[in-house]
Amino acid sequence: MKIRKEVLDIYKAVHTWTGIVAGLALFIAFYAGALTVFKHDLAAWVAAPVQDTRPVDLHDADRLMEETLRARPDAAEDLTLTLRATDAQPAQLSWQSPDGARQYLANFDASGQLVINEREPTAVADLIDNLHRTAGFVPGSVEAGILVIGFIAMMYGLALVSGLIILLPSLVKDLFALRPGKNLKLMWKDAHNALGFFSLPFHLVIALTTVVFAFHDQIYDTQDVFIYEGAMMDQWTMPAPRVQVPSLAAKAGGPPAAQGTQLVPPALMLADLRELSPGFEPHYMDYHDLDSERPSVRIHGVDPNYMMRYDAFAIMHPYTGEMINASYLPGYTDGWTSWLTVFFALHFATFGGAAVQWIYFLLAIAGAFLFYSGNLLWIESRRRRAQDKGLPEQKTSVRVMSALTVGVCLGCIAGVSASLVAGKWLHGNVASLNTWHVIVYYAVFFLSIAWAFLRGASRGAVELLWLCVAATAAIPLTSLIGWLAPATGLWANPSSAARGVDVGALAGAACLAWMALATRRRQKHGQPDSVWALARA
Amino acid sequence: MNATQNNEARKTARPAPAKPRTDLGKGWLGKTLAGTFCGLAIALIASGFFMLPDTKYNTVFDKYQIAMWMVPPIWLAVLSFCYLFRDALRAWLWLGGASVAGFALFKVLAP
Repeated sequence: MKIRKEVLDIYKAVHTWTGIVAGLALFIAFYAGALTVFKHDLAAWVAAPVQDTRPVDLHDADRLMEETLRARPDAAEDLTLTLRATDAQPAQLSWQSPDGARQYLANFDASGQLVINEREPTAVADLIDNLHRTAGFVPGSVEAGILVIGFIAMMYGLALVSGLIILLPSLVKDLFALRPGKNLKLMWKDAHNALGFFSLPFHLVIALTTVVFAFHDQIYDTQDVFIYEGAMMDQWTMPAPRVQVPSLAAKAGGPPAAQGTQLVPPALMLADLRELSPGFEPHYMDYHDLDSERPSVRIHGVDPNYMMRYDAFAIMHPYTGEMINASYLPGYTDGWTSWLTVFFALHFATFGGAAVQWIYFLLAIAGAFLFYSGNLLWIESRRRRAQDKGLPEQKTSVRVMSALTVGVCLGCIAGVSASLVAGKWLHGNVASLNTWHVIVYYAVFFLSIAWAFLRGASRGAVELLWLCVAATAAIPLTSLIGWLAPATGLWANPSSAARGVDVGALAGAACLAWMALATRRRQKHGQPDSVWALARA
Repeated sequence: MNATQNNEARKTARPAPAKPRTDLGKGWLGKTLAGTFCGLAIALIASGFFMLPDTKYNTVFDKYQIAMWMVPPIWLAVLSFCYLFRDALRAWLWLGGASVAGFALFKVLAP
């Protein structure tokens, strides 16, 4: 395809600038995003064992809730009945302190007495998710970080379009070429182009959905003023299409169900849902505002045969058992709502079950590599080459960018692994593990960047790669110690989710070790004027 | 005309005054700003047209959410192609003009 040279020139400039500004943040967002796919498994790995894991007897659950509410009226605002236990969360009734730092678990003991246990729930799943949503920008304010990522995502979208435009003229010639050899820039460019082109649909979806997730409030607010003239609330509060609940259908036509003070037994609601949506597997029930005029319960779950918004759910009335909103219940999504589930599912990989989750994991890791290779290209095309009078001093911009690339990318990888491991080693020794997860991540992240600047990109890369290997290998090693020597206070959760994290971390550590060895080899035997060569005389 | 003559003709045509190459990179900041602000305005106006005739007394469930979702793709499209304008002033005039005209038309059509 022929494109005028001046058009190519401007889009090359756009691609370079958006890429170099957004690339490192995108690396973090994609690495953490790949892990977010398995965030509940990571939480299952780190979670401290709970003493009392007996599940709530579902047929007694309404009595448990009523007794709990009598003992603890403050729980009425947000009460969760977990149906499917994980290592991080037993299948019990739970609620949290207003700041989310403490969790209370309620159940009946053997003699039928209400028992309430208190603990610090692990926030690892949310912390990984927040790192993904903010790239770690603005520690302490997730909202501000999300807005920053909104702008980064616009630049990312611009980089995708401009990258496609500058690739078009040579697309047919270059797409299936990978030219390893002396011209390193050519090889990185081939890899960058092939990867970018073939994962373009995924990247466009991620870029556009991210802009939506970052700016939806602002867009709605503007539309409210200019399109709805202040009446957007009417759109927002429009009732969902009616769905008749089977257990109430018999009584239909009679007087409307009285909004009693008696909670509808959860077992009855679940039986209704099973009848309505047979493939829907409920995971937990979230009761909201039980003491208010508008109480509701959201039953969350999954059905891998459907595209789901984050997960699938139905909103019901906890005192009458009526359906309030079934538009996200598998089989009951239609009209514009089905488009919404598609948009969400394509970002969150909430369709198709484990196969799609693994594909998204790999696409996200490949995306992280796309941004990393983009930075390498930038560095390769700007470094000074060796002349006959010895090795040149590299430009400051090249030195800074190469050190920053190494420090940020490897610091993020090492930081996440170290933060996860710290959850077990610090358990019982600190007041708040969740605070320490954050401290350890940022400490490793910023020290890695400092190290890369101190030692230079070349030496720093090898050393930080070994740090990544150590931190990541510590994940399965910690489990091994916990299994062999429980006296150390360490533990290994037996679930397949926790075991999967051990296996995944072992594979990750092996990949990182291979990269460390390759980087070391290039230091010694690669081109001596490269920024990756070992320090020159 | 045979091939040789054809080549001759091309050779003589070559030295003719070359069209001055336009540098599209000139005014990139102005173009980026025009694409960012007018692109957002155009995307919001497009979402307004999408909502017609349901901006008030709507009966179509969740349509307003689609109206929000369509803003970023249109915004990104305008921003992506604003660099093709010959200079920043033209970008502002065309995109700004389209925004003003579009909004006026929307206000006429909106219930």
